[in-house]
Amino acid sequence: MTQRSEAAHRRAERKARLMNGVLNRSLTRREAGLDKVAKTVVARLAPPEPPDPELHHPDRVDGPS
Amino acid sequence: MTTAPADLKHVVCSICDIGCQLRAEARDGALHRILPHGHPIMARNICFKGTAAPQIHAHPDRLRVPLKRVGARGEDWWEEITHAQAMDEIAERLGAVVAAHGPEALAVSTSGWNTQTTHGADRRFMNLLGSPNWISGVAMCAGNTAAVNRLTYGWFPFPDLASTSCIVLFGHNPRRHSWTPIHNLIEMARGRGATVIVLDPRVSEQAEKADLHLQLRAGTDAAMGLGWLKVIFDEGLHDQAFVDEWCVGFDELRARVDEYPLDRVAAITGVDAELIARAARMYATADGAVIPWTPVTDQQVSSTSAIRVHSILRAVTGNLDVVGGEVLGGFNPGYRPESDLQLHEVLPPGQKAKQLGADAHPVYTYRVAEMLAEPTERVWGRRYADLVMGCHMANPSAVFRAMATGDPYPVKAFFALGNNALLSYPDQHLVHRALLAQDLVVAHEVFMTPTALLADYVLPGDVFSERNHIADTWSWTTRLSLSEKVVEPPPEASGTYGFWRDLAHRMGFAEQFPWATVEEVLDHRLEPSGRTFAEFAAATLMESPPPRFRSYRRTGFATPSGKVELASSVLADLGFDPLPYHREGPATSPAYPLTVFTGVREDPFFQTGQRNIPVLRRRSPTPRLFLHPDDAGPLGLADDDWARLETPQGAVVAQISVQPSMRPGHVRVPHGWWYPELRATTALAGAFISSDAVLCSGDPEHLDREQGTPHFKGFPGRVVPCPAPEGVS
Repeated sequence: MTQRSEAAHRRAERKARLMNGVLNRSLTRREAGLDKVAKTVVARLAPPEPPDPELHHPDRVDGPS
Repeated sequence: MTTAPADLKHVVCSICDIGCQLRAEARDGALHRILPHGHPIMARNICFKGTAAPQIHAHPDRLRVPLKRVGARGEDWWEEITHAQAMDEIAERLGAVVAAHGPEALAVSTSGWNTQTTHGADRRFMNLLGSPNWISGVAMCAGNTAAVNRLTYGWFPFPDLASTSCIVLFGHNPRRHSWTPIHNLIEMARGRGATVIVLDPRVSEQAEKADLHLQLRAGTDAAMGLGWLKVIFDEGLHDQAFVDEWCVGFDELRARVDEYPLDRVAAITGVDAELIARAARMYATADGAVIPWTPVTDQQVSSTSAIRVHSILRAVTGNLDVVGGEVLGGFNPGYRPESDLQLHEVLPPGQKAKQLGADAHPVYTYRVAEMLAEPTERVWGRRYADLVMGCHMANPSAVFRAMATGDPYPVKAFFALGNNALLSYPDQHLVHRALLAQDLVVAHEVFMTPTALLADYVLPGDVFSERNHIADTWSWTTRLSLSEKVVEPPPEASGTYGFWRDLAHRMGFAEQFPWATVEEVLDHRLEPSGRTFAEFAAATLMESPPPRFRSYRRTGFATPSGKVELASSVLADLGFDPLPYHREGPATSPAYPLTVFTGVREDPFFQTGQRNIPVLRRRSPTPRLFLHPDDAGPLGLADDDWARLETPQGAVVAQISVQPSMRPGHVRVPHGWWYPELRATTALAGAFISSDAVLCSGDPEHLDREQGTPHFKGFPGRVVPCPAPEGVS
């Protein structure tokens, strides 16, 4: 890799640990405090997904082909 | 019809091996619907296999009652019995086999992806009994990669796709409906400017979008990697400080790499030298680059070298255990790994020494695990690290030879759990003979398979919507994902933990299986975190401990030298070449002019499964051979024609798909085809019509030397027109 300075390594590692903490809190069942903040932050990072028609299967099908 | 209130829970899908966490809705006591995750980052991690789960789990052909064979083996005549009767009889007959031939006469083949909630109970039982002969498809898919990675730096890293700047896909092709989370992470990385390099004989979906596509000849991945190293060393693009401080064997490696000048590598791989150099520079100069795991290098005659080259590239370019590179996560400190539950320390050295295949091909067997035990304990706190289930296995080909011939000793009882072994290993005819020669065959499955048709007992398994679980990626990552029981299993069905527990209690090992339920096992595994399963499930859906980077600075690496071993001391001690090399696969000839590559997965199916699920089968009704127009034309073959692919080992029948995306001279063969609809009319439900496992040889000449992995990527074949097989259209 392009040589990363020690300071750059530490900055990247701090950010990774922070994001891991935010992600963990966004996945708890708790809806208050820092966990609520984390859920809000993550929701802003990822826009809602449009529905994917390929995911829907018919209830009844006749056979394999 | 009454409808109960919707009951929405979080589950980890086990229809394929990636383990997406999804939401599941039950109605009237049955799985009604699968929904995407509510978490915005994971909402796209869902595919059409996952949403077919209600149709799979409630399929009319699902096994619901234990079956006992009453006809000839494979004749498909059965008597329904209770689970208790089945377990009583299996225990009695296994006891007779052990008394006659010793405990090593039991072999077990399983796929943890399918069974999921074994919790190491299979190895625990086998170690207590005294058998080292556990095999799995992970011998050719990720498990062997884990074992080979340990030779270089003592662990199997996971790519930090969330922060990387460059992604290298050696033949791997994550798609919207196959390896979906990895596909989505790659797309996110592209969106923030990461570059993608694809090496694939075909213009795959990933290749179409790649910054660079190297359309290499199948099976030449090790040579390609050596060419990259040549460019990197010649141009000084490696991390000299890391190499100086943390690597051993650089001078020897450098000398080996100098044997692979780019004109030689170009001749071997069929890729232009300048393109090879551009790709090497792009990888080596990125600020964080990854080479994610790929099945392609798991399945070739130079497999160990190809995987080692990837490991070496990570290390010498400074991408090991750094943000945006590939991270050595270690065990999750809050969750006991299966390595602990498996009790490898109780299997006596004399029994470990009997592990089949360990003499000739030791890399993923106990022989190497024992050589790495001390450094593993020093760095990771445990002597045994069973990463992705793949670090203490017997060699599958050696096991099937012993089953078929009694050489070097008899193996007379074979258990297949969530594993259609007949179609899952090379040399299918040998596997067939091996199964026919058994005194006792037990299958534990959700549906009848060709392998189960050859069993004495078939036990119905549970599915992911019917059990509680915490998925831990088999120590590949430190992430824990909750999977909640949504509905009850059929009364006579069992999970694989229950199967082994029930057998252990009948064979004198009750004390070592004190946990009555999966929830009690989960409580035990969570004990270091101070939580029970119920407390975990009430608190979170998924979590990871704080990531660690560059922790080798405190501990060193879990290798004998404590360094990254560019020249492997373990391989040297075993008498193998300690450096990577290219070995040519079987050559084409005038009689067999095409290069065949097999083992390819199709989106609607995982391994040999789901051909009986109409909503999935309709997406891919028949197996397809991909041929370039320049190869199909002279044979008079067009799209949808039926043809027979013949190799010196065997032949399969499939429909033709003419694909300009193919590298000329190559044939791509899908994996795992059989025909559940032919069960009533054709022996073993058509297991020998289109299964790629008949094409591949288990001959030692065609195995990787160090692991004994079979060569699926580049062997000779020919294609001839033929009619459609009877009953298939």
